[in-house]
Amino acid sequence: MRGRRVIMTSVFTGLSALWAWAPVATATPAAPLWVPGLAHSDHLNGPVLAEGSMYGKGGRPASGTVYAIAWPVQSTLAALKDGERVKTIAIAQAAPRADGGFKLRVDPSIPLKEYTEADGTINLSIRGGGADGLAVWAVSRRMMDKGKPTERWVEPGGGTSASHVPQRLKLQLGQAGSAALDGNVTVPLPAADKQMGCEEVKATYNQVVVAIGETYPGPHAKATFVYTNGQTSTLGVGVSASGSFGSFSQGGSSTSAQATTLQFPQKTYNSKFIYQSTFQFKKFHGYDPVFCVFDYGYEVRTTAFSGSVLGYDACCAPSTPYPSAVNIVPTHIIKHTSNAVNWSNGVKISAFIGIDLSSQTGYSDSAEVDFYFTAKGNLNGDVESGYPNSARVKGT
Amino acid sequence: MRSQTRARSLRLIAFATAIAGVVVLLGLRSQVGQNGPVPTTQPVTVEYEYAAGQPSTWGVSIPPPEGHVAATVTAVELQGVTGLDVVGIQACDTTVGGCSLVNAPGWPPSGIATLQIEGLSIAPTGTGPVYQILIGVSRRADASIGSATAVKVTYAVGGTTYEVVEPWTLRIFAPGAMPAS
Repeated sequence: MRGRRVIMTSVFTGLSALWAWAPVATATPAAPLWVPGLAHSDHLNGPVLAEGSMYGKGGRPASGTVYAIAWPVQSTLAALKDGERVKTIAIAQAAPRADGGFKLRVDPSIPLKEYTEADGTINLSIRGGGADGLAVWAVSRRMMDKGKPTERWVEPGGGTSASHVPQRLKLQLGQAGSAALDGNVTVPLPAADKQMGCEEVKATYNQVVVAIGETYPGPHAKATFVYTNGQTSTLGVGVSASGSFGSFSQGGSSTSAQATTLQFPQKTYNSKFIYQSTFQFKKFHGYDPVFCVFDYGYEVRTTAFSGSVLGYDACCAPSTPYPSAVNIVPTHIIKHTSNAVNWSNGVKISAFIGIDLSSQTGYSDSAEVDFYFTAKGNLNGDVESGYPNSARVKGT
Repeated sequence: MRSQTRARSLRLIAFATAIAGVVVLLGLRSQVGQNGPVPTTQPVTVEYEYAAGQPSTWGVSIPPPEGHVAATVTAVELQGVTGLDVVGIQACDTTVGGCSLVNAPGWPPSGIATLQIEGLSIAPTGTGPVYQILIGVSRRADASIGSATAVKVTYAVGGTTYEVVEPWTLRIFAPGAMPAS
């Protein structure tokens, strides 16, 4: 293994010398690598795809390189078999400033069609590399107001609120949470083929159970949950340096959009129910986007919606202390689900990777919870401004 | 003669300047921003049965503005109104007497101290009272369903006027006509 590492480092050094323009250092494999032909974000004026800071040992700002790697649409990923290569593509790259801060902007010459879901969402891996190692964090973005002065990248889902502004990322090099990666060359992929990308499918997990909704109708109402065409779910991504069972940690999330409708049976009075469905996940082994040799570890991410109708009775309802009175009956209150409901362990995948991942149901104009009040009562919300601003509600 | 011409020219210039100023002011006043600090909430639809010609009250909470500055409401209006008469729009302070409601018989709703909606100051979360918009509606006799598809709230923050169209839908059915599910 050590001999192979030396050979690959030599190859890397040679190629670096050929690319005289590229500020590639050869001290460690994790030194800055620029993707040839991909514009640097500092030279672009487009909207920011992702921004954040990169830190090294001791929490100090780190220098190096940050890439945004786009994943093909889910239908493409779902069709891949174990052992096949994935046609990912680097769409943005930047160098962190002295304070570690970075902003990634998409190179406009990169065609994004085969990476863009029908609702405009693109799933990404943000990868950072520096002297202290590597880091990976998975995010999703959706272009809003394309072609207008207000054009910007937002969190996926159908909302228009400022609450969809993406959060800043924190890439911690060489630590768990953003993948405990050392940047060493392990077993490299075959010669870099830019048409095939630098990821490989290592395993497929079908019928992974995921929490997608909840209803607590109380004593005066019944509730119906509908998971509809166009609905999106943001599901956790597991990351690991070794890819072995028990080595994964949560490393961001990716977004899955559904093309079918699930109509769950109506739940009656005083019920507390968590709705579940199933998704396919795959484990990918990732490499650097330049040579496909430097190990960026493993990601387990959703690749398809399977669509089973499942669920269970919840032990208890969330705290919702802000009531709004329903004084006329019968009344329907049809509330569209919010991505603010986040189950930290909603993706039941621990049997495969050792931990469960988060799940979050997204905005949609056609996914809904229908509270049908047959007697006077209250719809209680979890925020002071009550309905319709609360993400979580229950009937009382 | 020459001084008369000059005075006339000055009057013309002054008049033109005044007109231009008025045009500019009107232009500034008519600029309404779409992406202000009051967010769009998730869509919600309220449906109930009520007799034609009888007023009822529909309530919805105003989402607090994001950031640290209060917003002042200047107007509220229903959009996409069909088969419905809007008989009044007021507000109430939900921290006083628990006025928060989804719906209630009559207009104005009994037992609730209502406030004028115009001029209401909406504070960011945790920095002031939460207000609810109370909308008095009456289904017309010739309509089996009275409906509105959205509520437009116009407000001002720091001298700039914004509007937000909230995706709040109301449908009022004739008694016995509303589907149970």
